[in-house]
Amino acid sequence: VNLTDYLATMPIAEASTKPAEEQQSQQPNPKLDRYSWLIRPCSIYKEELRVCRSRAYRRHHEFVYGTPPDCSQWAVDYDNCLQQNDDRPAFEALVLSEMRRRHARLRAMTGNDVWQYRDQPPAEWNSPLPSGAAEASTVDRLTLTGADEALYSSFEQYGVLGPMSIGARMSQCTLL
Amino acid sequence: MPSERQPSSASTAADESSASKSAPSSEDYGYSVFPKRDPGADYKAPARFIGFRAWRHNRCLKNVLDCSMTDPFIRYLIVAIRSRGCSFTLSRNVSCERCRFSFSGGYDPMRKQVAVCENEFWAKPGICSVLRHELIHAFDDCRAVMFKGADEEAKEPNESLDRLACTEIRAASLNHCMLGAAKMEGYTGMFNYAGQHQHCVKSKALMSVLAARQISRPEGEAAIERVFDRCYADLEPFGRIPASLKSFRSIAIALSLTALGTAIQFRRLANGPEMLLPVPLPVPRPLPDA
Repeated sequence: VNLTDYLATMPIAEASTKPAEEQQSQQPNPKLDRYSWLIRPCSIYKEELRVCRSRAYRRHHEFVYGTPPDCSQWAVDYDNCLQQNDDRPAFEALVLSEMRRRHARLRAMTGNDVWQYRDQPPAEWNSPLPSGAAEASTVDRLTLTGADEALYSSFEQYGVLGPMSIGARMSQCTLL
Repeated sequence: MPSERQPSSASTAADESSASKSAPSSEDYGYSVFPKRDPGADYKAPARFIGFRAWRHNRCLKNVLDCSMTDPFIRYLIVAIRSRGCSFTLSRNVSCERCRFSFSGGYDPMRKQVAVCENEFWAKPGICSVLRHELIHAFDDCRAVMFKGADEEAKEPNESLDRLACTEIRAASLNHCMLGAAKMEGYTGMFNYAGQHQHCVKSKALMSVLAARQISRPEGEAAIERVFDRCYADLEPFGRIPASLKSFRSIAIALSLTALGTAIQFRRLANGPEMLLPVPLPVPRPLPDA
């Protein structure tokens, strides 16, 4: 039973699973240096841990999966992140953990063989609409009010998640 | 006040000229809901006082823009669609229009447009919810082949139904079946909510699939069961099932607690056998024999 087959049994895409036989080699593995970009800022792991331990997330996780969440991986990742510059095994463990998460998520996506994924975006995506009165009125009104420019300038100004109202405590990682 | 037909979205497409006449079945892929997209339709809307429709249309457009600027889920989905290579603009890809029946919106894969119905909802929570739902369909259409054309769809009806069911399952699980919303709409109880997310997702996906295609309920349920495991696990672009932080504000359909609202809740609770039996834990799939 290899890691991929074990991961196939996991219903959660964000889970990170350690293999049964974990080999901690004494020598540092140089191949992991080029994957250091996988490591996120340490505040992200701390925030994930806080969200994972919160009561609302616990209820949500029980609602979805039936069992309480296991936040130990985030705690391990946070500790490793704090020590990644001093401790080479911590860095490697963190990189491997991120690779497992990425693998689980991509596996969930590629395992969906209900449809065929495209190589290119559809060619007819930008084809002009048939010139009818209905579409024309909507198009004219939105272009006249400059909705598209407003939307794209708001992406540049506020970023992806948009302006948050005062007092809204939305985690950065709720959507990632 | 929502009418008796549950508001849902229709994920549809059809070849207007030939499919409705030459196909053996009367499948129109839900285009009859949107009279502006079905040129053969002869639909007279009920009369309203002068100026109301214009005001409603303007309010729908304003709320579409408000939701796109404010709602983080919608913004994330728009960025995800654009990062896949499909340009998403409000003027080309979103359309506010009047629909038939009590639908809330739909996605038109022929014209690549999200059709927001301004009949039932034109206030911001409803529009935001509809946009989130349809943007998942647009995202799936951008990254995978969803609809091949009426002729090819008629050749392989099961696969096309599977693709539709997959999209609806993803839209229901990523947008709608959050704990507070499920409680308000009667998909789960107040305390016995463990593992009820799947029940909510399947119910909502079934309603949407039955609204989009003219099939019977057992066929829809079979299609959803076929694709559920694969599509429930596919959580793109979010990577996880989002939890609502302010659950009562993110209610998808703004049911006020009137008598009709409570009756719907109790009827659903009575219909669902999951509420009466203890909820089993999810059974892990057996490992393949090494």
